[in-house]
Amino acid sequence: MEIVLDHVSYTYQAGTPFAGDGLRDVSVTIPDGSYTAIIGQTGSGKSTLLQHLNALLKPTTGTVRIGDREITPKTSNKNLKPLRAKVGLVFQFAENQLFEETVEKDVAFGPKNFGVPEKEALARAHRALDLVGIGPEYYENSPFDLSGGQMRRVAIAGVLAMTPELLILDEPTAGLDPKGRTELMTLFETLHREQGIGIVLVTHQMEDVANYAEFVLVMADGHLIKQGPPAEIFSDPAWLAEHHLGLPRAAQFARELRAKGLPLPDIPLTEQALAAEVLAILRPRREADHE
Amino acid sequence: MAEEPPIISIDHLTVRYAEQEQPALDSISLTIPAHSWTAIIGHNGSGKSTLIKAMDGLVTADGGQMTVAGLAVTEQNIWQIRQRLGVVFQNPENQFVGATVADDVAFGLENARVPRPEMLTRVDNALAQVGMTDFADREPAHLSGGQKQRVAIAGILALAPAIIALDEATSMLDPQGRASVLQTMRDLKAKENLTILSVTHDLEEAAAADHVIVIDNGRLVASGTPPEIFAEGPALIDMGLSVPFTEQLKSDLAAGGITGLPADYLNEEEMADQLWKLYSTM
Repeated sequence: MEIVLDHVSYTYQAGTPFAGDGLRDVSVTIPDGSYTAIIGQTGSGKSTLLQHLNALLKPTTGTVRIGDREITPKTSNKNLKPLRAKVGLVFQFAENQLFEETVEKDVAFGPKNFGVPEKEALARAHRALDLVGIGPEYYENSPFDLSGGQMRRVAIAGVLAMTPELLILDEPTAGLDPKGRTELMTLFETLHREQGIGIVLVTHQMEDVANYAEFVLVMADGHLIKQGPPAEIFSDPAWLAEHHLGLPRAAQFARELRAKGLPLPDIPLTEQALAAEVLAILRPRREADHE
Repeated sequence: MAEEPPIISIDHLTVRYAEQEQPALDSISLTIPAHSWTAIIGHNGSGKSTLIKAMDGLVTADGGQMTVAGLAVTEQNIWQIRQRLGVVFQNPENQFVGATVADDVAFGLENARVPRPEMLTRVDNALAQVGMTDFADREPAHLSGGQKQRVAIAGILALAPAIIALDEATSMLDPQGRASVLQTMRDLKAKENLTILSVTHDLEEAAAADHVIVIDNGRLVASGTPPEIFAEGPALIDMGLSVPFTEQLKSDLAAGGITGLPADYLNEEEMADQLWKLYSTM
């Protein structure tokens, strides 16, 4: 499902003394089935942008086209349900929204609420729980007895049980340990690759942008200030620093190596790519030594 | 000069939560030297936050003894201990009570019945130390996450503690907020002679500590300097942690046949120097 924003602006608390700009004249196309990362400082408008992608917020001016639905400032809040089933939004600290008595009831709540019969809703809940790695032994547990990482995964299963075409993730790994982080990022990557689910990821982790995203949007002060593939976004460290954004660690380190005199041909974005480049430089010399 | 006794000593501490079979902390013994920065690492649910809560009397020990800043951790001493050991928690949203930043910082002092003139001075000083003086009259709700955490730190500083514990205090912050909080803590540690405990998943932060403690399933599994701990690369990954960037790179290079790098943990600068040395001398 393609999403097109056309000159979208959004003003918080419009018409009051507290009015503030959330988005300013943003035009962008998020292609069907793509993996897009949104980066920018806190307060740059990333979360406001996200909430336009499933019509939780409606533009103050401009239009948002989500698949074949057009959202304008005048769109009524009725009949948005089908849209929200197709676009699943995982909020920051999603585990705060768990509420049911058991894990399976919590995950089945969404589909049931959308009119899916009980039995089918439970079947969907089980499939979604399987995807996030929560086994049948937890179905009857209270979600509140689980660990933080497990609770996060149950909350995500609740969104997956709606079988969305597009998954919107607002810092989904914040606060998790490295293993939990890797597991979740791998899950999203698998859903994207194997089921063609589109992903929009808001993150502060430049490593995640480098490792997973095909396309990057950079927000600052409500404006979309740059868009392009990760390699292009990370090719201008001075510009990034100016906007208080960093490079992936591998790229940063590669620049230090270059400054010392190691002739790295490219600036790698991931640790694996960096290792490959360093090997390519050091190995021939070592082999020559042995002759 | 005789060596200072450890500021925290823990002897066979065990903590059990009512509904769980396995103890959250299982016979932990350790000491923390005064004026050090100690990082406590471990996966989610390993018991590292429980350890901080036990020191502060927020959870009760089921066995063992603890001494914090010269006081045995007992019910009678809890309030005194909480003035010497302040904890900054993970979520900046959950720790505000005051209508303004200054009120919030004053809250702990009011509880401790500090006379008002002294209270005002202490609040001003604490806000100055975390660089938040200009925000004294603002509402906490309008601050960024990093600013909120710095205000939380000011609230603790106002009580003149000996120890500040950060319980994943930077994990909900963006990179700038994280950097500002860590820099504030480093400056404070140097100026105020504080002891810092930091529960963290950020291995780069742990790498900058004086001392690292690894907790896994309620047990203390390792304790040492960052180089000692990070030399255990694969074991750390097995425990649900990761290894610092330089160690990962070293192991990938070794897999590719580059074996000339020292086995010790290297920070990024040392790693860059070593790679340059390999390149220029081969």
